[in-house]
Amino acid sequence: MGPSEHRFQVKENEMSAPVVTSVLYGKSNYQPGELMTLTVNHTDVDRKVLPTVVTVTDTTGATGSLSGSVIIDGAASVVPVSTPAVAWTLVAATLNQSVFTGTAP
Amino acid sequence: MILSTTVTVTDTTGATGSRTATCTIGDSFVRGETEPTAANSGLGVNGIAPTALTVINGDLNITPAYMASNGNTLDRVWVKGFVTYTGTAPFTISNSIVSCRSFSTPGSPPRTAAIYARSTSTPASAVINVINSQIYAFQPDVNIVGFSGERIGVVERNDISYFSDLINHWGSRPQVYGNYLHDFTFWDNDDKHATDGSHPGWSHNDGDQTNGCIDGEWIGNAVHMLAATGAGAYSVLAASFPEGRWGSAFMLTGSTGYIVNAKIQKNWIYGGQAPICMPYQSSGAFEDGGCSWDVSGNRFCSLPDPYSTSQRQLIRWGWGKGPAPASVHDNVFGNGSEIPSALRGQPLPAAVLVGPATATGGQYIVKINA
Repeated sequence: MGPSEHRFQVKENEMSAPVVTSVLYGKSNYQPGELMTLTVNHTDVDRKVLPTVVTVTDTTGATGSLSGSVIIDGAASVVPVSTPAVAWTLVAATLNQSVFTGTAP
Repeated sequence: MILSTTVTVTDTTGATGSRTATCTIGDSFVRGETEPTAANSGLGVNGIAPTALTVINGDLNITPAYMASNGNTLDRVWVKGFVTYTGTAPFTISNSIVSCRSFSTPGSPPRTAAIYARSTSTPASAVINVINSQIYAFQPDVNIVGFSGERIGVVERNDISYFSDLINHWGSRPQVYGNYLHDFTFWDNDDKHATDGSHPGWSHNDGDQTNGCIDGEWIGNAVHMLAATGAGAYSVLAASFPEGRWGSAFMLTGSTGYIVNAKIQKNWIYGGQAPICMPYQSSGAFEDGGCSWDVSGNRFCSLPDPYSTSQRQLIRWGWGKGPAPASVHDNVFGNGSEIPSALRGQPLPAAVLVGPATATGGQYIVKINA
């Protein structure tokens, strides 16, 4: 086999765009002045949580470790813009979901 | 109002994705297209809780003097009594409850209507309008109707129940739009009908009755002609008329004046025995108005009680008295399970002339056998 046939597929240095899978109001009809909720579900194929463990070993062989994680290609921002204008406030967020509240105009 | 929200998500590389969704703010009700229900009529129109209303204990007399002191409107009140209007300028009650009150002698209520506007002494332009309100009788009675009088104006988006007749127009121009009319009260001790041949003492119940009017409009109302189970003599009625199917959703009798230019359009009608009754030979001296009618787009959502074993009369009127047959058109059966499957969504048949085509003779009847 030639070298080219042994080559691993190298991921191109292009990241996928995030996808907003759904935008859900708490209900279909609000009265003016009523508190609304807006739930945004979003994904990104590149998004992942990278767990990391740092282990330190001293000269005696004893170890100590610290674990953490880092989000790869997470959502830098989730911004709702309404017409007519609504001041949305982020009240909860996870990796793939953001929940906002706002007052119905 | 439509609220449109576009959400944009930006990832750490600066790539974005977005999606838009809408909801409605305020009222999404469309007259004649949205069926009135308990949820979207009365206080439900603006989502007002009864506890948010200012209580007026006792009867409310809207006189010229009252209006001089209090203005031409009442909003968000709960009248725990009867309303009588004798004003000389238009007055509007909105987003409110009128619930009548208790009294000691059944059959002798303190007033004969929750909202009474029968006064020929006031200008014809002086009317009481009632909008987005709930009207019911705390103590139902054979002699209490919902509305009565010559000075009733716009009646729109109300929830009206627990009256013998839900609305009685006496010569005023009916402007009845998008109301939820339901749970009339049936009685078997009605002195007004003590000598009736077939059912002596049984009340004659209507969703809305007029005895003469010009330019009347009944549009987009839901009228349930099924007697209230918790008041009056329901069990007596239901023994012969299952579900309390009785009376007429719209009863137009020219007993005290001509009926001219009537429109009965896009209503939802349930039950009854003769759901739409228009002038006929024996209903008074003024039936032949020579008028312009339109009776169209009405949905018959459950069948009326049959007159014989199977004949169900949906719309009827006297030859030469009410509309020309062509003015009764495009009425349909509803699509719900209360309609036999073969009829759902189907147009009503054309009216047939029963009896001779003379001024004293026949009737046009839209009917089916089912």
